[in-house]
Amino acid sequence: MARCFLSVYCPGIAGDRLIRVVEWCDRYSPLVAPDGPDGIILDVTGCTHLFGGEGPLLLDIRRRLHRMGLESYGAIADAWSIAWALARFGRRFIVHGEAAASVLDPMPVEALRIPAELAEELRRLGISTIAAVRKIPRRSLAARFGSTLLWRLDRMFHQAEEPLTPWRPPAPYRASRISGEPVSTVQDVSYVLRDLLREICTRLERDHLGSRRMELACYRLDGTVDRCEVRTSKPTRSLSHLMRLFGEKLAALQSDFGFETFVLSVSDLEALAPEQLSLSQVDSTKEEETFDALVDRFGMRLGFGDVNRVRVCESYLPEYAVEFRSATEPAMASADWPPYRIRPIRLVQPPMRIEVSTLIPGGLPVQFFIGRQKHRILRSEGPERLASEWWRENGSRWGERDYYRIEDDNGYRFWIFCDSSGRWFLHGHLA
Amino acid sequence: MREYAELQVSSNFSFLRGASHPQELMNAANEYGLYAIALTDRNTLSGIVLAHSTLKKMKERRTRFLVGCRLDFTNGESLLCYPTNRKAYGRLTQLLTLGRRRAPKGECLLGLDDVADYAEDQHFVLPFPQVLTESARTHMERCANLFRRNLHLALTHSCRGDDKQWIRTVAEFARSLFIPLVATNDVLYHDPDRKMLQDVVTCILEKCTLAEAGFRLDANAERHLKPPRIMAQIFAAWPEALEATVEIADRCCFSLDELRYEYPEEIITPGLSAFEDLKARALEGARGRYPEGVPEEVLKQIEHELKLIAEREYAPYFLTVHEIVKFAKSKGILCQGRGSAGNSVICYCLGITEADPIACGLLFERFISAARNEPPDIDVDFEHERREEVIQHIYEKYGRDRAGLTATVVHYRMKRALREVSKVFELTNKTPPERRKLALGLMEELVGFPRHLSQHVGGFVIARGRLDELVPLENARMKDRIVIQWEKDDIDELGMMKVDVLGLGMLSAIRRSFELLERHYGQTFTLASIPHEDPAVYEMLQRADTIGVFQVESRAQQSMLPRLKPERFYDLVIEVAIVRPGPIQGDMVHPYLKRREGKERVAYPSPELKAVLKKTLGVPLFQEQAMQIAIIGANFSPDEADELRRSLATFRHVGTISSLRERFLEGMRKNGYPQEFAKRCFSQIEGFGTYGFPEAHAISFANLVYVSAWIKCHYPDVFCAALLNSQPMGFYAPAQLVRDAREHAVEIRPIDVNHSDWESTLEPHHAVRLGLHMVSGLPEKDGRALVAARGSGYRTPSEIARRAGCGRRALDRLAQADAFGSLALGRRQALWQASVLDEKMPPLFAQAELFEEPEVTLPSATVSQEVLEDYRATGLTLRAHPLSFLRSRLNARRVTTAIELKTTPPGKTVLVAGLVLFRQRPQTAKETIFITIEDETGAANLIVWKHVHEKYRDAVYHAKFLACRGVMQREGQVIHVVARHIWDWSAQLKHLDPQQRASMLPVRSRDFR
Repeated sequence: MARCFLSVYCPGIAGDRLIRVVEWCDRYSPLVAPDGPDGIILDVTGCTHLFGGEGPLLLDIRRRLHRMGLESYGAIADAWSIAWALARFGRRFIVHGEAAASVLDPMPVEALRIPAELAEELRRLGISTIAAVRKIPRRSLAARFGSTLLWRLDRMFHQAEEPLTPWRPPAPYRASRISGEPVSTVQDVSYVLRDLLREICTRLERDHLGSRRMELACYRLDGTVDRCEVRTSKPTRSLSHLMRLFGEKLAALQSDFGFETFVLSVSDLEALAPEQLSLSQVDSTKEEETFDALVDRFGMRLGFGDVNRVRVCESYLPEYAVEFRSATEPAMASADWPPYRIRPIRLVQPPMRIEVSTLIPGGLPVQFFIGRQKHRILRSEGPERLASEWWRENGSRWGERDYYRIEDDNGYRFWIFCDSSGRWFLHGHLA
Repeated sequence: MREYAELQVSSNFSFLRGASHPQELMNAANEYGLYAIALTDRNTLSGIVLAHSTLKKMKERRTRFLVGCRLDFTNGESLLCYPTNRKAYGRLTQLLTLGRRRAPKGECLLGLDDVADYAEDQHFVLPFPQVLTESARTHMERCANLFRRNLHLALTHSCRGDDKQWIRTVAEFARSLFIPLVATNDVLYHDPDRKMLQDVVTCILEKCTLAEAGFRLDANAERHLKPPRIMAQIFAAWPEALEATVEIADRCCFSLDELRYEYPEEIITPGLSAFEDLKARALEGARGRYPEGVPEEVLKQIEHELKLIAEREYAPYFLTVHEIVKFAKSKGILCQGRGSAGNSVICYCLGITEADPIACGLLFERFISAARNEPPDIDVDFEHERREEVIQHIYEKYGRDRAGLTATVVHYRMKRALREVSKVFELTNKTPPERRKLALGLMEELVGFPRHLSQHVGGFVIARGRLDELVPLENARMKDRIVIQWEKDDIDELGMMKVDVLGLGMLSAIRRSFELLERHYGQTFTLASIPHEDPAVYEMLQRADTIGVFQVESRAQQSMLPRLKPERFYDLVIEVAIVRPGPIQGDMVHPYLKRREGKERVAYPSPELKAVLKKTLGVPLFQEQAMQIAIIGANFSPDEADELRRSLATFRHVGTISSLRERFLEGMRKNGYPQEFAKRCFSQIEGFGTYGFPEAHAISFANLVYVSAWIKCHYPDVFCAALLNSQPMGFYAPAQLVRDAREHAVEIRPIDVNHSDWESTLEPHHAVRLGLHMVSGLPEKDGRALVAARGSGYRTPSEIARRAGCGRRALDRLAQADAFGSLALGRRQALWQASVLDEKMPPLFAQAELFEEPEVTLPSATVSQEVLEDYRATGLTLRAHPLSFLRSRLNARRVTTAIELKTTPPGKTVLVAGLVLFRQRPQTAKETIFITIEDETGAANLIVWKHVHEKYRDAVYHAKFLACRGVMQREGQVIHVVARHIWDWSAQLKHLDPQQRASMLPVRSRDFR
């Protein structure tokens, strides 16, 4: 039986989108594959009648693609290469049998699907149509242009075999178990869960992937479903960690008459490099891992929106030097803080206005008042002069600041500054 | 009050690390009354001459300048180095040369071990460490052991909070190594306000935005130059560190004034002094120039010049230039001096220049200004293709360690500065206006900052001894080129000599013309022996029939010629000088034309200026006239006038322009000149600063104008062949040159494998045979092999492959260029035959003609297809103009042809269309774009005002085939169409080849700025 190929040409489609359209096309035929950067090929042998014939099939596919916002051209022919040429250069879109030659002949040489340089070379010789190519003796063509051109011609006119390798979507990370009898205790569910997790985690490890979000769907006897989901701040495939996270959720499942089917699926994937097995147990990465696990547990309890990480930023000004970021965001490296720039353990924000007396104007402070409380300054160090970060949109209220570290007669230590107009502020308590 | 010397200063010559010009730093230092100031840029001495001369010129000079350098080592550590005497300075320059020469351009690879070999009589200072890392400790220990008594450690108070404590810690460590202490402020800018700019350049250096920069920026603005009083306060607890600054300054008694430049010895004839030698050569040259006896006047002038030369000891300079010119002439390389050298009779006698300055009434004093103590400057143009021979000769004769190219400091220009600052600020359309204003302000400050060193086009410095003891040398981008770290003005400042070895395409073309004239017409000419004042030549120039002629072929020149109507040589001098930004900016062109056409009375602003302006009908056109006006009219001293010119030419004298302008206008007013005239003069001087022509320079150029015009006028065939062989050069592409030659009844014959040489040649009856060099993509080696193996001719393409060893690719190119006409093969047939050959065919197989080919008939090409292919393969066609095939379509749209424009009345609205030849955006009219388009009847000029080209941007910049509706404008014989609407009709070209899917005419316009 003659085969029947459908070629779709979507000019300007992007790589990702093409794959999605290819996936979508399996509604027409299971034998579907991407064809070049902007085309799709379907083997529709024997399935055209399902759509009311070839014409309506073409119309249907183009109309639906149009609704998706895609410009497309389609053609049906006996051979893949003919369908390809028709979709791109043809005036007719359905051609079978002997008629093909007369339709193809006036087409430009590019319709042969040959490299652009080859097409250019042919054109320079005045050979600009397929008919012109076919007039040249095969021996002469072979001597000049090698086998590519002949091979292409053969595919088109002698129907050389053109196998189509259908495209398959990547296997999803999904595992299911059906139990012989209904399962209703948390204990039993967690057995099944462990089993499912082991399967999934092994596959994740093999593929260097980790899960960011995982869902367990539990189907009850009556067909209704209960689901629980686990999200993590970093990709993971650690069985024990995932078990612990699920453990906090399992209790909430309503088993009613018991579950019979369990499906565990990963809905969010991220790359995760394989781990190096370390010899020593105390390992900084381990430490980090347990910290991440802790963050996840907090997140599961409190909601991830309420868990923050502290990050040290590269700013000399204390109010900009620290920032809080959601724990779920990928952690950014903290700045390397210069050891000599000492910052208070508690910042007074906004800085508190204080009265300071100095011995000589512009000299070192000797005493200051917080409210009525008088503090005699015994030791002081400074100034640490910090210019305003002039490029910030809101700038700084105090201009250039001179910071001093001081210790009062009670042994308390403070961090105070004098702004550019000579006013003093308390900005922090030092250890 | 304590004295203080600042020993650690980086200027903006430590590219992107300092935020002040050396001048600014020196001015501030002098103002504060610093005892001394050192410039310690990173691995460079580029800024020292500028700093040195700034302080030297100071009226009330209080501060001494110290030469220094910060050595940044590959291991991340640094060391400040100060030569204490001339010998040590030479060692420092050699050390830097060592580091620079073994590194890629712009980098320097040095280690502490290298320094040890050059350490004698240097004084060293270790920069203050912010953290005492292991590497820093080791570095300090090694330095302490290597340099012992000649080493200090810098203490710098940066207000980081724990300064007292930290300085004490570092000082203790230094004491343990017995290193004495010295105070510095590690200065990066002269004023704390520059902190912002400092942050911006740091971001540019680190390729980050301000928001990302973080700790890469300084915490405060303390690194500015501070007065001694403040430094004394800061270092009150360390008096010995303050005293050490003065001690070190006193130890470093080297000054740049000690540098003695010495001319190379080998230029002088043995047994003679330089002066005697020059005198002998000049007199001998004079006898050659004036075979009928040297006129008394010339002898007197020679005597006069010699006297001045003797006074200033410039004889060796003239001899050096003469040696180079002599070499070029011995190799048959055409050359001609340009610039102010043309004022000198001696240069004329020595054959350096070709125009007789006495006949032109030039004065030698303009060459060597009596007031300026500055060496003369002789620039020599050589044939552009053979300049390399001259350069190699210089390297060979004097050695690479004695000859180097001058550097050019590339400065930040508006465009670049804007781009960098926008990146740093992350400017977008949404940026609020205040922030945008801040960014723009900083951008303006950045403009004029040095960015990197580049090589000067051809300024050679040649020394008697090793050049690297005088100035550090570094690699240029070009292989085997060595550049010194100073630029032209620095060299002038130190009284060093520079010879400009420049390349000029027209000289190549003229030399080729002379060769062709000798071979085909049996006539021998030199630049000087071309018949003078030939009326036929002037008649041709008056018609603006100047395609290919030197200088006057441009659109602007062509429109000037019919109005200026040159009748004698001096008119050409004016023609060359008048279409320049100087006169145009000064609005001097129209007054001159009016006076020349007799529409305006010739008047002089004052009797004193009459002497200056007489030659040019009272309108200043030359650079020296503008300077004379400043001197006579505004009471400038010659020195000041020169400073004025220089300050306008470069960025070196930041901020002095407006005060000079004030002075100029004030001076003119005092002498009773109308303010309006004064303003015009000043704006002309402004224009001259960058682009002005001195009279002698215009004469040198006018000489080439005349010679090239003479050849074009009498031997258009010779002219065309010579120009084609000298490409790329000039304003027009080969297609226009060929077209012009055909219009002058020269037959142009196509490229042919059996008739063409590699270069274009002359054939009997005034015909030019296009050469194989016109075939695009054909390697010269293959082309020349084809010519060499031709014998009695080729019969088939495969014979060429066999006998000349050309591969398939070469034959393919030839076939595409339709070069098989004599074999009766059309382009497609030839391609077909060539395409069966292999790239590398074994000669034996080729002989066997592998297999019998069946006869193949290829579709024949239409003429328009052939035209397209001609353009593609050779850039021109001898068939019809592409537009002739579209004419019926164009007629239907009522397009006016170029030739019809000549009879169209001005003011009429017309639609014109043509292939774009040039787009031009002159310096003097930045808002306007001039476009020249061409159809089969000729060329048309379009004027596109700003509002129009902004509206039709794409068409204006990208169209190959352009249509324009606009208004006819006529001034004398000059026709323009002032554009109103512009369309890109490039798509129309597809009609030339209906079978071609992606048809595009491969015509490239030449775009000029």
